[in-house]
Amino acid sequence: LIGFAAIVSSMKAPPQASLTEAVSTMTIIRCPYCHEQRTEEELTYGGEADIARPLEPESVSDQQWTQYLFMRSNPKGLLAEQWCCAFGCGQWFKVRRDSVTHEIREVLRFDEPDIDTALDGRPDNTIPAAHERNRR
Amino acid sequence: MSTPRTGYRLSKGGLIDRTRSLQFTFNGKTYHGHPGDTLASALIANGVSLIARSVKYHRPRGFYGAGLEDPSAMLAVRDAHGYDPAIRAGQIRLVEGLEARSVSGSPWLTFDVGATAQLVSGILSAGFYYKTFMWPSWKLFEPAIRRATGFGRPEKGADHRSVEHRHVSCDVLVIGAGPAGLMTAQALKGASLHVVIADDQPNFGGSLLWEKAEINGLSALAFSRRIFDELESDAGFTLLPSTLVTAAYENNVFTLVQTLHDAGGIFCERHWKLKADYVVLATGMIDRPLLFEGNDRPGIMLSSSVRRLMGEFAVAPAGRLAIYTNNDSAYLTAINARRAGVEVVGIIDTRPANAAIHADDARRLDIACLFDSQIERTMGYRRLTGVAVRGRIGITQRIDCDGLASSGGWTPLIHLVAHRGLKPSYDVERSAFVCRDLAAGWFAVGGANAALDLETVLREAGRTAEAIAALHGGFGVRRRAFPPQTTRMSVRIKAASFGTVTPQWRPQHGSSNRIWVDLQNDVKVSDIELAVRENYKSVEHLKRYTTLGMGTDQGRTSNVNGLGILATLTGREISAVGTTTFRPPYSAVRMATIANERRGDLFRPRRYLPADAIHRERGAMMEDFGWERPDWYRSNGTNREAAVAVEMRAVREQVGVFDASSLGKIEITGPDAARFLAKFYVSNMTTLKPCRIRYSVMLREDGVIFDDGVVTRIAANHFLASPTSGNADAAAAWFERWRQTEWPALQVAVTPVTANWTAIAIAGPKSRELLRRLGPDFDIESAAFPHMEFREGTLGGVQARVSRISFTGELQYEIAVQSRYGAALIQALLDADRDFTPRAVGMEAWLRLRLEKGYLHVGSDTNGRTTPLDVGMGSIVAKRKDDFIGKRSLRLAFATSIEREQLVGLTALDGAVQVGGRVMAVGHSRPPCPTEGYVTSACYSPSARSSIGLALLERGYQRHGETVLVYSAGAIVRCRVRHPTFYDPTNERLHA
Repeated sequence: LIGFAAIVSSMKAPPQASLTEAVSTMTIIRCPYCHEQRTEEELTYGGEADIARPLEPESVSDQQWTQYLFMRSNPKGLLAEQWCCAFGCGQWFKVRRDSVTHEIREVLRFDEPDIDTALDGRPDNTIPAAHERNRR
Repeated sequence: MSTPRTGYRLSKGGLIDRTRSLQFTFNGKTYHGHPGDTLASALIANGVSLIARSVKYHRPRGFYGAGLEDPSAMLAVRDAHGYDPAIRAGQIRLVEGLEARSVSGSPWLTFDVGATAQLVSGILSAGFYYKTFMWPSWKLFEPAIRRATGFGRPEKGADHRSVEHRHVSCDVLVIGAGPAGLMTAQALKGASLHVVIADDQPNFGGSLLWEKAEINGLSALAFSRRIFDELESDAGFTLLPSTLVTAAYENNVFTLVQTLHDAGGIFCERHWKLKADYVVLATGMIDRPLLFEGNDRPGIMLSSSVRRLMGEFAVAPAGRLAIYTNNDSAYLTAINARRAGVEVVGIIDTRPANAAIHADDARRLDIACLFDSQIERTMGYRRLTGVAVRGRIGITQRIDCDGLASSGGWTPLIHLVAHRGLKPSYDVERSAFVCRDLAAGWFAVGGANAALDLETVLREAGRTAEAIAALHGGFGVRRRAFPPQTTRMSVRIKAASFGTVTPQWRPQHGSSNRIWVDLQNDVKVSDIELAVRENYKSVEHLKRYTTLGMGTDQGRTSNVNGLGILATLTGREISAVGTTTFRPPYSAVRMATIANERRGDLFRPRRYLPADAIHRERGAMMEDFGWERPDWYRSNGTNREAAVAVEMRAVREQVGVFDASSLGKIEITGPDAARFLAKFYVSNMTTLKPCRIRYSVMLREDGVIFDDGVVTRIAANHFLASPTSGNADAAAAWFERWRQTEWPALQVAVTPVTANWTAIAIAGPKSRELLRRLGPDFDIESAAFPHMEFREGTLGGVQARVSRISFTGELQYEIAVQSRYGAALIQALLDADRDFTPRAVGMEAWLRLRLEKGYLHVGSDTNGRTTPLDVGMGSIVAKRKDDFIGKRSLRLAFATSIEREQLVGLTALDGAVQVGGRVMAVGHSRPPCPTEGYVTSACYSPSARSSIGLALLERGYQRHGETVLVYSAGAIVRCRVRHPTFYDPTNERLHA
């Protein structure tokens, strides 16, 4: 199901080449583990990704802890989020989605690096993200 | 020139089968119509004009439109297959034996006592109910007021219409098969696209079915038939007649409702979920009514609806028809009517003579044209009898008529665009709201784009098809850009046959208290004036204050007029006023259609215990606890209370058998299993020795208790976690998510095995004897197999896992065998013996036994704020040195506050406590008063010989011994606060 919704998305803009295959007429994501394409109904949504759990919770301040617990960026635009291949292989993975157009920009495993690092304005980027720590 | 006619049925024309007659009833009276009629056209043909009473003032109302655009003609309709409590008469196709009833009017439609509301209409203004019924409480009046409103009453019992759900995807969805939709579809032929065309009417063609036009030498009707035939024979096209597109969602997903008809009516409704790459919005437009005093009388209709009634159904809406307009399209209504033999008494045009382009054609047919004229008021009660017209020089004349067709401009049907969250914008030139912004892949064509003549429609259709084909790379052409902006978006209307519109919002004459803006909700100009006076000037406030544009028609005919008046009153441009949001569905969808087969037993799969049949043999009264589980057994007593008492006594004195199979079972294996589990539970699972069991709770990261249960260490690298039944799936998903996303380096596997094992608990002083009867191959004496230990072995040759744990406060074993042995196991356990009789025990007795013991039931005794510190586990938390999920949150101010609600026991000193009872604040003896907590579990305790309960009580730990008042179900009960354990506080019976 490869559509051209992204091209048509702005009637004023001239057509341009589609960046990824995941631009489609429904939120359909190819799981990066089992490589099956699944519709949103077969997947579980897990909220914003890259919310790093403090490595030593006892040594962080109340403010840092509540920041981790509750604060989310909720951007109008590109957002990194967690999805789970719930009705498939059961693996969690990371998706970069545009919260306005629903365009899926990237689908990543947790054990591979981000291509796009534009999102690094997270609340406390001194704490490494889970997948970064785990690779050490 | 004129042709004779009988009654209101024209002598020729129309898409009706005059050779056959259909009998139907309206309010018990019998009428006749023809196949091809709608219920509306058949009633009009029979001269029926009074069809409903208005919702607030109970004014007589008639047909205002011919189909979906009608705000008034809601009827309850029954055909051979089903019943609709409120549907527009124009939406129903006539079948033999149809029964229709008015949904308003009491006691009769023709004599409605509620019509006295008109006498006090001056005070029944916007906000009347909320302003008036404030004291002592709105709740007191609400039921009676609610009964007096609304449309229709649903029937009890199941619906007999069948429902089908279909999910499809296509390349192009064309919404509407009028001239714009058909022409676009035709132009897409040969592009190798899968095109779906949906139209709410049984015949494709839209206005081509009833407008007078000639295309390529063919009549409009013949032209539409030709395109239809072409498309039907093309495999690339799916034609969906009688299919209404009800809603548009993100990602170009649509819902459609298709009705399937036979001679008895609608026998099936098909609910489509469809997604499309491209969308052609060819929904057309409807007339916007002109406003004047008394504009709601039966006989007053939209001008284009009158043309449709005459053209498609061959009915005249009136014997003497007057026309009221501010544009040229209504002249066509007059001309068509005159040619069909209807007496047209005059065209009243608000514009000067030089603006009217069809005036000469009308005069040639002897139709009088009055320019610069306004309708001052109307006459008649149950039906229009005349209008008073004030001319240019201020002289008022009366024109006798029993029908009036009014046209105040056009409203493109762009609701589906608004469903996508896009706001339409006001186009001054065309005096209409149009969609400048469309969602990705959308194209608006024809009337939906406010195109006013067929030439424009044709041009737009061709251009749209070209753009879609180009984007798709079809027609063998390379993908290329859209045509330039100017030709694509702004279409110039030259010499449009519908002419130009001179908008008029607030009429110059008439009392604003007698001018209806929204006929469905009985909103008048005076209501808008009141709203503005009270500073409800925002369009969203206006809507909620006056109900303008609410209800089943979502302001289809009223919104733009309402906005125009609001703009006039507040001195703003319409574009500055904006519009409210149109919400899906576009037209009402039956709940049964959405539910499909997901009702009753098929609502969701039932889960049965492996030993289900044995429970039922024993008279189990099953309840849905996520699984079908025995609540109590009829074999133990004739009613629930008696049986529960017997079951509880069996456990306390002998032995009870309880099926615990639904309890969650998750195996955690691997070298890091202990470290992994330690991160989840408040208790440290790394110190748990093999063959030992530990009870603990799991927290969410915010410190709140998520689940509880026991963890068994089967072997060094092999654990079994037992979450509660309701959380079995959630707990497994919880373990797995953390394993993958936070600790993927740990060597551990999470395997849910809940359904693989049948687990039967046996509890009571005789349970060891009962276990021995099964022939265990391991020592079960208390010293060799103490409380909170685990053994794997065989019972009568069958592999089994036996845990000595207790939920009841008695000596208790839980025996787990592979599910296929489950039925045999429980059968063996329940077999009577000469020494004692094991009893089957249901959920209710089981939960009461644990309440006596004061054990926690997560979800009942905890809420979305409860931490382990609130349920007596503070010392366990304090002992933990390392981290676990949620631990850090327990140091936050909320968790350590002295005002926390803490778990306590309650003993009733008089009366009985009940779940949900509120603990009244100290110093108060009567509600209403502040409360300090509530009862989370309660029952009569045979052991304590009184009514007992658990409660979450503010500062509860410090209040043991205090007497509190609990208010529940109208009674106040004195209770003594105490430790939650009511039974065997020294645990002697557990360790027996």
